[in-house]
Amino acid sequence: MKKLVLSIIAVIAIAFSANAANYTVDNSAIDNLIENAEEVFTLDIAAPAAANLPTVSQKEINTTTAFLLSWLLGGFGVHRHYCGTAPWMWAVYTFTGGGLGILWSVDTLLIFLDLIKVGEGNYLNKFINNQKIIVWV
Amino acid sequence: MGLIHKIICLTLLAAAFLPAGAQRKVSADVEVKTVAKGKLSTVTKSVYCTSNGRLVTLYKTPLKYYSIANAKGEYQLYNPKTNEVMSQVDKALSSTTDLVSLCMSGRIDDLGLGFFGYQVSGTDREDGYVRKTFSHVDPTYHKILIVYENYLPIYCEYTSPEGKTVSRKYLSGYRQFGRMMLPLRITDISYGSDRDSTVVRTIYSGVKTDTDDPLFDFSVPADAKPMKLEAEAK
Repeated sequence: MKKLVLSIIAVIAIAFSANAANYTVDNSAIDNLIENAEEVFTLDIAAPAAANLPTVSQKEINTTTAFLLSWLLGGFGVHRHYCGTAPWMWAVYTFTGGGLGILWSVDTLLIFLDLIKVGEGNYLNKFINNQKIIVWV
Repeated sequence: MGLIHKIICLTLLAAAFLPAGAQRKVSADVEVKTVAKGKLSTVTKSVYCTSNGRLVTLYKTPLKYYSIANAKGEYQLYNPKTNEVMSQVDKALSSTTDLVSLCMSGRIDDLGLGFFGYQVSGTDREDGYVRKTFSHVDPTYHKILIVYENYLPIYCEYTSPEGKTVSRKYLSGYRQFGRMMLPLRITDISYGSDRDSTVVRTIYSGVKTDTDDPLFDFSVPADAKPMKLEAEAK
């Protein structure tokens, strides 16, 4: 618990210190943050279990949950599996850094737009049971 | 005879100043550490990139996988333990989006954004830095700011259409390998809730050029089975 609190404080401090007027970041602070974090595996090592994920129906998808998953764990494609997708999608997101950050960012934005009901709405529908890597093209 | 000697000397002198050929092959070890909510995840891999756009990646931890990508977006993910392969064609998986590939081709200037349809929409200077803003024709796409120092990108900022900063990327530790400049350290900070963010640190090491490592020519075995996709079963 203490490590978690210290880690959160460190991340907040780094996020604020790395502000727009400063185009560098404190590398030693980043290294300390990493040193103090608890190492876990990204996903269960038995990855083939992901192949048994059932398809989901639209009514089972909660927009808020999808948004939180995308925002917090989108770099690993967790939101895509929540909405139903190919079993290897987690690998694509994880091993490409969330699609160089672009896939992850746009996914989060679209789900957020649906959450606050802006524009056309129903952006989340594009993610449901979508096997394609880029759902928004 | 004196004239011939002069011509030979001048030719040799000129040749000495000709630029060396660009690298044909580059390999590097990569360590990616991601911290979110006090938890750390580590991915280690080695990348093997050739000048024709072929990129082989050997993922070592936490799982051993191979991936092969080319400039057209043809992508294969191979699991050597189960001898299964997944093939996909997608622009987002093109080798041209990989940082080593970008640096090899000398196109690090826009960090591969042009490939996704971004164009420069503004340029200015600040305290000796050059700042370029990239926009997409689709207004729902993020705006991206890249800041350059000595013509090399050192900072990249993603901003939502609502003006909120979504993430920042810091590139540092540039080193020259032949004609290629590669940042050895990249830090990505993605802003989530007000109380937490995700930090990703990527470090490149062991960069080698034009070696004969057999992994440059790695191919998926001919007897590899397709990965079972749940969608196909239905």
